[in-house]
Amino acid sequence: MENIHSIERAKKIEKALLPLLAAAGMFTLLVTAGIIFTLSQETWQFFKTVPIIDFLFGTKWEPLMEPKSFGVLPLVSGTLLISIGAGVFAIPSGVMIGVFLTEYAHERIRRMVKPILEILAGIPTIVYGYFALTFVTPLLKTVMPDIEVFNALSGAMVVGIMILPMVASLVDDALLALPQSLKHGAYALGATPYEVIVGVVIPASFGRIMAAFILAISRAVGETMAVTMAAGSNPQLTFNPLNSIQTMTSYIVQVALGDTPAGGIEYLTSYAVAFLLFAMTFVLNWIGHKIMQQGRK
Amino acid sequence: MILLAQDFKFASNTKTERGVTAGNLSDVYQEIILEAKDVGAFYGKKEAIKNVSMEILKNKATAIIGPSGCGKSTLLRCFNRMNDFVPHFQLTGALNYRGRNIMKSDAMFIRSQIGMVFQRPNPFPKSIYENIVWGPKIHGRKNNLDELVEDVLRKAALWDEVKDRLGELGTNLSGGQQQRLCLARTLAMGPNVILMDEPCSALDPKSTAHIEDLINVLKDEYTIIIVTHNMHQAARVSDHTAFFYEGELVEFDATENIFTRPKHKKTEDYITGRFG
Repeated sequence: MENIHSIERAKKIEKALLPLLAAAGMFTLLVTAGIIFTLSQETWQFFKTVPIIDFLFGTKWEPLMEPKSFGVLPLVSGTLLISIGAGVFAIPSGVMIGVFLTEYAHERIRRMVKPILEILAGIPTIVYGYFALTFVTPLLKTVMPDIEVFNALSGAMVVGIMILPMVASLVDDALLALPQSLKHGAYALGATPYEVIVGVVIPASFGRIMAAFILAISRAVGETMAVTMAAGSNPQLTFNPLNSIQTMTSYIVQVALGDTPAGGIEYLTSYAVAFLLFAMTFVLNWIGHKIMQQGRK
Repeated sequence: MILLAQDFKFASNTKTERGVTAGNLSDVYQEIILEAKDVGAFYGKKEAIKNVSMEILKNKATAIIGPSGCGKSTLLRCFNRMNDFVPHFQLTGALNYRGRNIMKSDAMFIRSQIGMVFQRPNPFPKSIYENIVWGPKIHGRKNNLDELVEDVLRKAALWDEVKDRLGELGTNLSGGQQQRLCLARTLAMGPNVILMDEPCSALDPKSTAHIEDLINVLKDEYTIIIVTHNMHQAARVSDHTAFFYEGELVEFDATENIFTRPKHKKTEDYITGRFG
């Protein structure tokens, strides 16, 4: 008797749970749809005044000054400078950490390093901003005296440190996903660990490692606070990392925090920039996930 | 005994070596290439093989048979140090390759001399050509790679099937072809010994027959040790057979003797299918 009761109860809970779970799932969908809707609407308003060609291909970004100019390329170049720079720092070291953890590290060390990496990933980004401003930039100044106080290099470096745990952990996953039998096949031919890693392990998980890079770069593209603090807010079309620059995200912060009146064209610019940023990271993530899936086959 | 010699088809060139006692085949005046002396193996505290002593003769095919978990694969992997990758694995006793202590030698050297074909085909996700030349290249070979590829692919009876598509991925071949590619890859290192760990267990009967034919040809040039679940396979391809049970070497003798005149009750029970 008791048994039947408990089965009945379990069924009831099951019935009640289903709509709850479905609602939770729906909620995220609605939020995503809402974000896309808001972005698109305001962006549409913006493009009613400013031609899309001027926005995408203009080389001067001066929306808050007279005469106004809405060329987004300086912001894009700033963003690229930071993300590519961050990649240059994070990708080689991330791969090395991943290789070390899967192939060389003793189980005990692995269990110690993994959580530390996760702590690194959990530090608020503003802290990285201070780190850049008060530690990295002064350090760079001793080597390169003519570097500006706000510079892309220091921003790229701290963003690199920020995405490092992500690269390391994704590379670690990629290497772990490789069947042991493949490595053993290589070792059985008398290869050294280094030869196995360079000759078999890395080529075999190349797709997944690339996907890890793209996802990490996409994260760097979207990074805001650390970059705003480290690299400044001086939109200019440059690829010199010693200059002060402004990224797309820093610009949005500037508008959101400033006294730009809501509804004006200056205000709408931030939506257009945000929309472009969204499109960029969306495409990057999509490519990353596609490559991941390919790698899994 | 109910079992008759004709129940098993023996390797064509097997000469019966009478009077050879278990664990000691040396009185037939042949070079001992591998030797195990009182070998014991542990996974942590679990004992996988106990006090195994045996001698493997050069240019013979030796089969290791026995029920699952009897330690036959563990022993095989001791010969080329593949157990180095198993955490908490421990070995006691001595293993010698041509008189040289395997455990004290450089593992990379040992593995270049003692090749291995695995249970499941594991070609690299590279071209057929690269699969073969990768091993020789890392060991410093630069010349005549094309000749080497053709030579070992012919030896592995794969050349005619793949000669026009050496640039294609080795992983796109059929299972049987992949296993022959792995054999070719091993041959390319120019080893003296080839260890085979149930090389046909993932293959269909036709591919299995293919591999067995190859073993019969290759043993003129190489020493082969094959671990197998399939007793008919052991009978077909090997000159000597070792029967393992619960980590111990029960009986080791000429294959024909093992299958027709086993000395131990356990061996007889196993080959007549009473357990296993």
